[in-house]
Amino acid sequence: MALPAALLRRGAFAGFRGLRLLSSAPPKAKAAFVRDKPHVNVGTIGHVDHGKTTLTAAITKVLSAGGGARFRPYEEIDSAPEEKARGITINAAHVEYSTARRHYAHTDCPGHADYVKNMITGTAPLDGVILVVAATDGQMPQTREHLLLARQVGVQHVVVYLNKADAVPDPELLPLVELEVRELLSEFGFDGENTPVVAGSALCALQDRDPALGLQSVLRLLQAVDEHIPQPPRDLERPCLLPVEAVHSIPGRGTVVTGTLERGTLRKGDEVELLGYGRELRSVVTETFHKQLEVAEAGDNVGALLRGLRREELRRGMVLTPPGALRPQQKVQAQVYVLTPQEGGRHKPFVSHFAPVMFSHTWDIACRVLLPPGKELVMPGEDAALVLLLRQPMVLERGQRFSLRDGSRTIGTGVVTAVLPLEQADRDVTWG
Amino acid sequence: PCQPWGHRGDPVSVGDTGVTLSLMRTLVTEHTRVTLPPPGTLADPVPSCPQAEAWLEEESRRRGWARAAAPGAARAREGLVGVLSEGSAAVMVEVGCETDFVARTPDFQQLVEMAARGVLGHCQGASGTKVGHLLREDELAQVRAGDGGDLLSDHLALAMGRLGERLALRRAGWLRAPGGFVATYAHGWVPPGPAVAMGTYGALVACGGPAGEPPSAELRELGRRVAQHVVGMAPTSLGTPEDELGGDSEPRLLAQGTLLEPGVPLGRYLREHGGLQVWDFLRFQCGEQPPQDSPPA
Repeated sequence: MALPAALLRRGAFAGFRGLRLLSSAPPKAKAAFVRDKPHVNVGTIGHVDHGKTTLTAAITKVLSAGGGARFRPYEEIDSAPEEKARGITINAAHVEYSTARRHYAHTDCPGHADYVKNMITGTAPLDGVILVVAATDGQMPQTREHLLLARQVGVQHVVVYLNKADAVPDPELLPLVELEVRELLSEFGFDGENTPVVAGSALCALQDRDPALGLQSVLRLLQAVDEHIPQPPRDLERPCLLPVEAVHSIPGRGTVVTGTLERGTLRKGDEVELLGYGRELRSVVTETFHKQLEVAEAGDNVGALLRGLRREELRRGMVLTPPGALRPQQKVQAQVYVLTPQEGGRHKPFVSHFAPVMFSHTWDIACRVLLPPGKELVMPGEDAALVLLLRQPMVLERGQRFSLRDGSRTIGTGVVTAVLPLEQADRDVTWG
Repeated sequence: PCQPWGHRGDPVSVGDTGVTLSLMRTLVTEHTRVTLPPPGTLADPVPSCPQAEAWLEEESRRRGWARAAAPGAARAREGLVGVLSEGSAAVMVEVGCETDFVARTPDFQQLVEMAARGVLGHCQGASGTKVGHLLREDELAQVRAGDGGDLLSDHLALAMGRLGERLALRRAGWLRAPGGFVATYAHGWVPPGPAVAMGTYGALVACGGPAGEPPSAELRELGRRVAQHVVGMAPTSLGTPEDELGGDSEPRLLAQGTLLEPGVPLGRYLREHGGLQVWDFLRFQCGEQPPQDSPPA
């Protein structure tokens, strides 16, 4: 049986990460890591003091009883050490646990800015989130902000935990707060009606009292997470995507492109399209080169011999994909974090019309930063929603990560939140 | 029966206690850290609202002071800079808190506004011809909020009790521009609107027109651009209008490449755009270390 390579890859990375944090296991632990359950990335979001960290601690406590987790006390999670993810400093705690059905990597961020950075850099893209709302407060400003951002970076599945149910003076308040949360979810485009809402008290679970509100509620929450947050589509099941790393000309045979297959499968005889730098070329794979196997799968290094294309027509950065699966884009809406000088970024802020180079997949291209109305500067250390106009259309999708560089330094990192149609004014921009 | 003092949302009755959802919400939001009476006791004879509020306020203040005095409290590194101008003077204050969550609360922003207004009054009351002045943390604590109001340090303690975090009136400063005007700029995530502009960065620029006439709208806009440049490029000294274009780490304001036209030094840019004169400037960045402790040049 062909192993789901992509799944293994995901699992191995997340597992390795957790191991590294729990003990100081040397890098070779990566190879020895075995996983027998599907892996899912989740995180807690919600307003300050609504109990995100308490809940995270409570989950590990409850699962540690059955051996599904190592108990991580509140203080340990709350004092998450600064870590460098893609050069960016984030305070985030990564906790691992297993239910009977799945293995989870769970991210908890202490500050609002950390949360935003974690979502943008996306070192562990979240498959779903647990929204924590204190029943005593109801929805608060960051409840909204976190939901909006989760939506923008492509999180589709939410499970709600109504925390502090033990501190609510009257149980009749709970249905009201629940109603309010469901409306809020619908407002942001989530499925408010069918989203599971579990009421309880993470503190009770942590302190071993009132099992109905404590222990039981955490178990119900985990069951809801197991059932409601679907397994992410495995990269194998998606249309093939091969970012071209190099183009070779083989005398007597033709042109070969090589790279690492990011998604899907590729085999001899597949019809493909090569996209990027304003070019859209059709071809057929007449031969594949890799490990002597019939089918190349996501994660494999592969070479593809392409019929009827000359080497000069192709270049590194183009993307090989089935016809019609992806479209090149020239204008996108993105959420960008600007690196501080300590993180390797510039001292200077981003202003409108600033022209850095954008890097994603294997391509790079000049782009122009357009700040939203009313926003004149983005300082280092800040994040902003902005529009990027590319010099030429490249393969870009919602949720795709990229970095911005100026000269040799990375000055920003971001995620595409929407693709935009090109307007006449955009075509008239001069690129110098 | 007790009337809610904050009307938000529909008054939904909870049980037969006469306590509405919006009342509970208000209580919890405005006095987050004050422990609510346990369930059941609300049906007891309820004291009048003003009394209850006075008690809550006293409790907040007491806890606030205790928190401020607590040893080893985390240093307040987040916060907001507030900028306020009136006539030919402008003031700037920095108020710190521990997490960016707290900086986003209306309570905290009210405190920033109060501090800015207090410092403006202090600035207007100050005699002498000094055009610029900086107030340290201890001096700022003694400033009164409004005419004959309480000390800012009292308001600080109250806010600490309510918000449950260590807060700090970190510093303040003002610039006066007799015969000219003070351009201001605040940068950050706080939406513009209130008289006291707020953000994580702020700048004041004392400037004047070429011939001392009242500044036109264009000159004022240019002044605002200079203040924006000060926030973005963080100069540390003024320089002269004749300065040549400096490099990437040029510290002199007028020798730095203009933010919107990096190839032109700011001094020359201003000469070519109406002759705005820059006399002095002041820049605050929230949480920066060490804070400037000498008056601006």
